[in-house]
Amino acid sequence: MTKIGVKILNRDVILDTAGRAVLHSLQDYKIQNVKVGKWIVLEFNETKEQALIQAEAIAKTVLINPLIETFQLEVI
Amino acid sequence: MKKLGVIQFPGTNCDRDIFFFGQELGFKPEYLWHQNLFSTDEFEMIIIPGGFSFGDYLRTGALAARAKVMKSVTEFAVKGGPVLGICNGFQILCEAGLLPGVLVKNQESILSNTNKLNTNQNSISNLNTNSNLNVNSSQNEMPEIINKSFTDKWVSLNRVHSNSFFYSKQNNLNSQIRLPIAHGEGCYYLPQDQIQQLEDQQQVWFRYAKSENPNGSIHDIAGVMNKNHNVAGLMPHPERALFDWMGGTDGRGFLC
Repeated sequence: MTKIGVKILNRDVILDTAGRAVLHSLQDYKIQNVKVGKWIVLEFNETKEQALIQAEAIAKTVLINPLIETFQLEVI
Repeated sequence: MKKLGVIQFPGTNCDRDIFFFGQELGFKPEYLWHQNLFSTDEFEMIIIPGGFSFGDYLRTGALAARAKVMKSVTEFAVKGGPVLGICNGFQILCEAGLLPGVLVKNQESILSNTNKLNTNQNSISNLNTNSNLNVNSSQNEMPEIINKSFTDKWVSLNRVHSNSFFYSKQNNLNSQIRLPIAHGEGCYYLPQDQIQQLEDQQQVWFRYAKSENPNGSIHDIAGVMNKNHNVAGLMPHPERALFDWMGGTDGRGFLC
């Protein structure tokens, strides 16, 4: 079994309401900005290489909208 | 009698309104379930109603756009059949690639984000770098953007181009109308280079009246069309403006 994690964050043009709410509650810390995204875990019965190829295709066609989001894959 | 297909997903909640809308304006409506294909030759027109399809999981309209019924909707649209998406239906058509752009959370003005980003050189222009997770953007100042929540009210709209299949055939239709809106994610967005192309190709269908933009949409856009003008999407609800007792009758022009 191969698990691939897909990290998704909004592009900066999109208002990150969750990130802003968290930032406001962290004013006691020296922090400049907070971004809240999504973490999606995909499980495959494939080799790492094959799973990564499939995960990239799934991310691009379903999991993200390239107009507003970026993603990064991670084998976990 | 002209047959109107009304698409239903789990979470669609304006389907009965659209069914009545069609009946009232001389169509024979029929529900089309999201798990089924349909025969595209049997229908004169397809409407995707509003609601919260699939609970708005992942992104608004994203899961509905990939449902089986959308294969038939795409086939119908490619053949030139008229397809109208209202509210969540508009979001679904964008996610399905049948209309350009995307609808995001209501805010003061999405243009202020893009202006800010342009000056920060933190550009969104490179759309090919999907896998580039930009963690360094935490260095930016927090832009002065005001979040807006779900908005439910009547708004004034201006028809920009009358080349759409919908709201175009009668000569006596007003170009300025009033319709109700009810949405939390109606802020229309396209990157700057693509928005100019949309304008140049006369694909902007309706704009919110000046200073009445309720959701921060770029160029005050409330509705757009595809290049062939047979597929259209609109955030306001024409089916909620059929009689005076509803508050207005401008919605009647949409299915003539």
